[in-house]
Parts: sequence; C-alpha cells; structure tokens
Amino acid sequence: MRKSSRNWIRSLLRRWPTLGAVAFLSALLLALPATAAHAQSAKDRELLLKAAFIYNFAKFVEWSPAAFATADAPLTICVQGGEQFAAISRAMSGKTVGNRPVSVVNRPRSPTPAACHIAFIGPDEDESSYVALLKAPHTLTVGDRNRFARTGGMVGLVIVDNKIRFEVNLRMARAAGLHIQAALLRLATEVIE
Amino acid sequence: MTPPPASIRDRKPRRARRASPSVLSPLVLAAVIAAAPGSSRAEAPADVDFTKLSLEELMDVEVTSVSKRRQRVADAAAAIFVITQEDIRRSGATSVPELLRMAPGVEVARIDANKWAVSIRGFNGRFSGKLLVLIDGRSVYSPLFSGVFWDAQDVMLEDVERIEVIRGPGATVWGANAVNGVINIITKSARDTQGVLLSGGAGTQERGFGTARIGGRISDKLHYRGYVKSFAVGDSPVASGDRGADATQQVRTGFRIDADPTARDFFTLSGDLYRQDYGSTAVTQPLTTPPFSTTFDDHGTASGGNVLGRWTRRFSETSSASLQGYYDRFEKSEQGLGATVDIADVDFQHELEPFARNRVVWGLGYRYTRTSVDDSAFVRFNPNHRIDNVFSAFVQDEIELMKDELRFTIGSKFEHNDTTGLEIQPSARVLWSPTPTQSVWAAVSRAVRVPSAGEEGAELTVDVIPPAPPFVPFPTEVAFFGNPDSRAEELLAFEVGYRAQPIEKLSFDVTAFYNEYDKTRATATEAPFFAPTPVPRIVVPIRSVPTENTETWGVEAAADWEVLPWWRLKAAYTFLNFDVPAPAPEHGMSPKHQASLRSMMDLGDGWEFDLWPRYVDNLPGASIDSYVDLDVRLGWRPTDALEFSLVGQNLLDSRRKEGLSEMLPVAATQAERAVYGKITLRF
Repeated sequence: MRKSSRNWIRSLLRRWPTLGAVAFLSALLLALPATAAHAQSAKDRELLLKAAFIYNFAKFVEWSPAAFATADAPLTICVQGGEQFAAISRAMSGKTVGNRPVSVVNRPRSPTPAACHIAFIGPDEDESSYVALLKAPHTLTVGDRNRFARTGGMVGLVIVDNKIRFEVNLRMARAAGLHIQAALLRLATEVIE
Repeated sequence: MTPPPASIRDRKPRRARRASPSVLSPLVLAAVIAAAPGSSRAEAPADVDFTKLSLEELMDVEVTSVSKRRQRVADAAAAIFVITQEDIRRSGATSVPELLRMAPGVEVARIDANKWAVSIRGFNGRFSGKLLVLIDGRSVYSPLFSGVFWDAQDVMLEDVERIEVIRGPGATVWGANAVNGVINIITKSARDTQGVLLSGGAGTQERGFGTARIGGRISDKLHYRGYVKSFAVGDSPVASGDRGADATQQVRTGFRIDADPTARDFFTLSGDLYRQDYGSTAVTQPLTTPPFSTTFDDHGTASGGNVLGRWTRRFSETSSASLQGYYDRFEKSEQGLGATVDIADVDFQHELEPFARNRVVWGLGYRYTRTSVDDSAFVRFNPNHRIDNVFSAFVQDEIELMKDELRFTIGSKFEHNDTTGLEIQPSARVLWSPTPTQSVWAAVSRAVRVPSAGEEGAELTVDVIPPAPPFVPFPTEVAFFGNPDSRAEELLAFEVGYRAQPIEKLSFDVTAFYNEYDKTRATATEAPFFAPTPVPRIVVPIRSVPTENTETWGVEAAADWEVLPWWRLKAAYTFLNFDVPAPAPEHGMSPKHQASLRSMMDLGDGWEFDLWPRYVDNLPGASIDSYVDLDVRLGWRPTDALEFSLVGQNLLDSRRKEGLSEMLPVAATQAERAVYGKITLRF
C-alpha cells in the first residue's frame, strides 16, 4: 500500500469543508435579500422566451375581420399578473404583426373577454379567472399550465428536456373562429382534434 | 504494566501556527460576497430579444431555470424516475453510479475508486446481476459475471439527454436479465449537440479530467459529433488510513452521426473506443503451496469498443418500425484473469395501431455472444471459450379502455437461450387516471435471469487452509464450482403506484412492490474430496445452487417541489424489506432505508447553489455503518457559453466505508471527502 506525499493539500482540505460551509452559508444569508430581486433572472428569461413564442403564434394565426374594429386596430394580448405581464410587455414593446401594432393589456381578475385576441394564462391562476376566455370568440388562449391544450386551452406550452415545445388543440381554435396555418401545426408536438 | 505507546500514526500531529481558520474565514467570506450576486451590479443585464428568432430557432433555445417541468412519465404504468440533463449538471456527479444515488429504489455502494455495487430493489453487490443497463439501446450487461462493469462504462455526461430508471421487471420490452429494473441512458441526438464543448477540471480525488466535443452539420439533414474524454482518479484511503491502490484512468473517444433524409426516415450511427487502467488494493490470492496466501496490489486493464446503427421509419401517425444492430467488444484483465467478450446483436421493433384504441408493439431479436477466458492461478473457467445464441421475440398490446382514463397493457417476451432453453416473461399492467392530475397503476410481471458464464463454469479458489500435521497432512482448499446445470432465476413481481400533482408546483409519486423469487442463486457446501494433482490437497467444494422462494417487498417515493421560482427541491425515499436467508452471497448488502434530498437554487446573475444531503442505512451483512453525507455545488454561468463549478463531495465524513467487493477478493477503499473545480465552455 502506498502512502501519499500530498499531506499539505490534505490537511488544508481537512479544514476546508468547515470554513467553506461557513463561508457559503454566510454569503448566502447575506446575499439573499439582495438577490431576491435578481433571483428570477433565469425564470425571467424563460418568460421572455415564451413571449417570443406568443409573438410567433400571432404571426401564424388568422383572425376573422370581425375580430378587429379597424384595419389597423392593435392586436391585443391580455396577460394577468405581475411578472408575466411585465415580461411579455417588455418583449412586445414596439412590435407589429402584419400591419397591426401589438398591445399588451393587464387582464383584470374578472375579465371581460371581449377584445382579447390572445390571452396568456399562467400556471398560478385560478380557473375561475380565465374559464370565460376559453370559449370566447376570436380569443387565442395560450398557457403553460399542466395539460393546458387538453383541458380547454388552444395552445399549451410545455418544456421537454429543457426546450420549449407546444401542443395545439385545433378543435377549440376552430370553435373560436380562428384559423391556424399548417406551418405552425407542423412544428407542434401534438395536434388535438 | 503500562500499555505500549500508541503508534505515531494514531496521534494527531501538532500543527504549526499558520493562517488559522479564524483569519482565513473572513477573507473567504469577503471574496465570496464581493463576487456574489446583487452586491456589485446596479441594474439587470439587458434583455435578450428572442422575438428576432424564428420559431424553429426558438425551439432550440435551452431553458435552465429550476421551474417546474411537465413530466412525460405521468402516463406510464411503471415505476419510472427520470434523471434530466439539469439534474446531471447540478448534481456535481462525475460518473453514472454517483448520479443513480438520487433515484428511489436504487442502491449504490462505492467499493473503491473504480468498482461499484449498483442494484435495484435488493441483491446489491459488484456483480448484482438483476439489473439491465442500456446505453442508447446497447446493453452493457456483461454475460461474464452477469453484472455491469461500471468501471468500464462511462458516458460523456454533458451529452446525456436523460437517464430513465425503471424499477421492476422490464422484461417485456427489454429482455431477460432486466429482473429488478432497467437503467436506460439516452444521449442527445447529434442535432442537439452542435458546436464545441470543452470542459475540464481537477480536484483532490479527481486528479484531472477533460472532455472535448465537436458537433457539426453537413446539411440540414445530416448532423454529427465526435468527442474525446479522459479522466484520472486518485487513490482512496483504506481502513488503517493508508492509501489504497485503486487509482484509475480512462480515455474514451466516440462519434455519432444522425441523418433524416426524408420526413419519415431517421438513421443513426455511433461508436466508442475506450481504455481504462485501474488498480485494486490488497488482492489476497490463496495458494496451495506454502506460504498458502499472497497479498498484492493489482493493476487491471479494461478496453473495448462498440458500433451501433439504427434505422427508424415512420409509416404514419400511429405506426413506425426500427431496425438496430450493434457490435460490442470488451477486454478485461484483472488479478491474472483475462477475458474477452464479443457481442453482435440485431433487433427489430414495430409499433402500430391495428384496431381502434389498441397500440401494439412487437419485435424480434438475435444476439450472438462469444466469451473467451484466460485462467488465472486461482480462477479457472470451464469451458474457456463459449458461444451463446439468444433468439427473442416480444409482443405488447396497450388497450385504451376509456379514453385518457383507463389503459390496460398486456404483453410477453419469449426468449430461447443455449443455457436454459425457452423462457417466457409475461407482464400485465393497468393505468387509471381519474383526474388529469392523478393516476394509479398496478402491474404483475414475471422475469428471469439467465445464469452467467461464471456461475455455470467458473472455478474459484476461495481459501486455502494450511496443513495441520499430523491430523491433516495436506492443505485444504475451499473452492467455488460453477454449476453447468444452472437454472434461470425467476421472479414474480406485484407492483402498485400512485402519482399526483395536487398543485401546479408540487408533484409526487409512490410505488409499493412485492417480489417473489424462485431459484435464486446461492451457495451450498458439499462433501470434501481428495485431489492428488497438481498438488495433493483436500478440496471442500462450494457449489452454486438454487434456493427456494425468497420474498422482498418495499416502498419507494419521490417528490418534486418548486418552492419559489428560484428554488426547487427534489426528494427520494426508499424502504426495502430484504430478508434473504444466508448464505446467499448478496445477503446483507442492501440497506433498509435510503433518503436523498436535492436543493437547487438560482441565485440570480448566473449563480447556482445546489445541496445534496443523503442518508443510507447500514449494511448488516457487510458490517458497514449507516451514514449521512452531503454534496455541495456552487456554479456560475455568467453567459450561455461559460460555466464554472466548484463541487464538494462527501463533505460530512473525512472518510467512510461504503461497499465491499465480492467473488474476486479485493480490499474495499473508503469514500473520502473531496473537492473539485470545473470549467465548461460552449460555443
């Protein structure tokens, strides 16, 4: 059996975990209040990514002319709540779809479904706050709740192996008078009829 | 009389005064705080404008926050636990056995720096044999001793898409020897590993490791990657505190090419080559001549390569078929024993929906295995060369009795092998999902394990007792003899499970099982006889014999909770009631309780802090105490291209015993507190 000659590294490391643990935990405790604001940057990035998906959905969905008051009326995206609304607003600021500007509106708790062309429903929301939107005409419902496209939604965002994918419920979309172009359906992981 | 002075080694050396912890700690503290998130940056970094990307490009972007993921396994009628690439990256683990500690139902015991005992639901040991391990569809189960040589098996962890741990008999689809479970290691497609990845690091136990991978595309339909990976692990302590001889190094290289020339066809070709040098500590070899025993440190080598090809064709939405072939060569030399195994395997599988709500999968397979063994002084194989042919067929029907609510699956695998003839392994499963967020499943299955070349024909000198004249003028050799009439071990397994996601951010699943084994391999001592050649001696034979019914049962649970948007907890708990009567060789190597908790925190600005405490109950048959231990990882990803990590492993004990070797007598070494740092570049 051989003896190692690296005693100096070993004796330093014998103490390292103790002082290392102290250092990390102290840093964590001290840094925690300061990081609370920044702690969501990874989650924030995910929301910005999902907003980009919504932007692309808008480009591949056709609304009937009755859905818009005038030829250049804005495309309205209704989002409920703080961080979702903030992220999607930031992502869409200044963007247009076709000739229409995109307007992001903070959806109240008891929404009037009229005038939402796209409604984004987040995972934290109560069913009561969005159930009316699921059947509203001309409203494309997009959400990242579990099994969204199978429980009344039209486009469900899912994360599969760290990448965003989406499922489309064609039946619900048709019922709302929306036409989804084949180019979008081809990229969906599942199309439910 | 005063007791003899304690040896100098036992006394703690007096340390000279140097920067004491009380001085060092605030310095480290200051350094960490200065670099810590939130303290120096005034505003958030500029937003990335994802709206400039096309939909296809958006679908390629990786999301790495800890927020909750939808589980694809929610619809499976089996006990499945998935280890994702994020789990791998944030665990700090550098090998597959270390990763498996986070799965419920899996027992992992480190024997030394290159030998592991891994099993599912009992019977743990270096050659545990009831676990099938697949890497991209290629079986790495060795027919030599019916187990997995974990030391030789290694994958580039950064390119693993996921590891599926399926507890319970996987027989119906995957084949014989998947008695207690299947571990399915799936690597990313070549399309998902484009660009260059360089990673490297070093530490106290990890002397140095590095990986380089290049991925590219020849066209939109042809992608490839190639990698080279190498690592060196230092020796570990033995019980006395001295260093063992288990240092290890391995070099590995491989490639993968994926092509999808049409919308319906997909081809993949991959291959690897590797070589490993490793040591074993204090191998004790009994001799039939004086001094009757010798102890030495052994140097072993393992090398090999494989090539795998698969063609998948989609006929329609509901129908597809695939044809796969692979060749694997494995050479090993340890303690004077040399072995070469060549495997050629062809598999065909077809999925279709012949009637409404019936999804049928069926397949055919053939495997050719050639084993060649060079005897050592105390392990002899009879015969030294053997060829095994296995023909298999399977069929499975998944019937949707009530749409999205009730599903019944029935199937069976039929296998004919040269040793035990025809084996039939049926399985029936039912899955009931009363609500979208809950499901209950139950299964009954039969599985078999075919005896290995070692069990059938190995002759192992276990011990030699020196002669004691005048009563016993000859040495006595205790030898294990394989049994050429070995039968297959049989298992009848009953399982039930429940899965739920009561709120969006919390999901959990519980599984309970009851296993009834028959003809489990055990050893029995037979009448001694006198052998005149080559050295006159008395031989006490121990033979491998089947035991009667053995039962085990247990419960496994796992939970996944997004506590806060930046903090996620994943827990696993295992309970196993394993009362296998001695003298079964695997008696007592399985712990009664195990628990694992992983905490992953995204601290902002790319900082990640991950903790992994775990508990393993004592192993009574191996005199190994229970332990609680902790791994910690601090990671920093300032950009998508750069990642630093600092990992501490086994932090709570300076060293401890974890596993024992079996059959080939090697001294186990201890798991030691260790630290390593790693840098990863992706571009």
